[in-house]
Amino acid sequence: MLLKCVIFWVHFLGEDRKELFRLVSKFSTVGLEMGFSVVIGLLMGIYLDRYLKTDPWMTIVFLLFGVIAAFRVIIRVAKESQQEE
Amino acid sequence: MTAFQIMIKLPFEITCVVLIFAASVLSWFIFGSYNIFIGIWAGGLIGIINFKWLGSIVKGALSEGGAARYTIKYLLKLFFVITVSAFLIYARLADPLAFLVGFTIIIFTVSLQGADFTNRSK
Repeated sequence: MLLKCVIFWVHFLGEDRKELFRLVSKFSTVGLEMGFSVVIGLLMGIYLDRYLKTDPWMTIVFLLFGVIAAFRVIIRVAKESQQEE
Repeated sequence: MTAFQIMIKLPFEITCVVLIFAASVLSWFIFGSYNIFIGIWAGGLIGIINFKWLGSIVKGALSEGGAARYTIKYLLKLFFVITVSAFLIYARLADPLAFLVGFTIIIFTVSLQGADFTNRSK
């Protein structure tokens, strides 16, 4: 269903807009990837804190790991864009 | 040329400030609250600073390498943005929702100018 919607929109927008559509999907994926990195880090930290009873240190450490992973995503995408140019 | 087309052609920061100004004046007429007015301005300006700062960090990391140094810079930037935002919201200087609206203006501007840039490069 989702794929059908995407195909419909690509046809609807026409050839000129395909590049724009590609860029929008690419960069929204980056946003999702960044969000997920931070959330996964946070959840892992909370779980470890409960398990090891080290509240709140693991949460802080794993949240930092998540933020660093999110930054790595930005750098990776910027490098990819630079190579494409 | 319409006002909308002129705004797309303006430098990114100016378009942002124009939109922040428009949103804050509109909010003033609708709600008449200082907190909302300040919230939109604070969110918008912090958004611009955050975006430009991130841009310079990514540029530096790409041109000079040494990702560890730039990761620390990124964490410092994040700490600064969180501290200032938290202070403004906890001190009840800025309305949280208005702050979010101000912060969102930058996303709107980037999408608008990005779409225009893609169209022009065709």
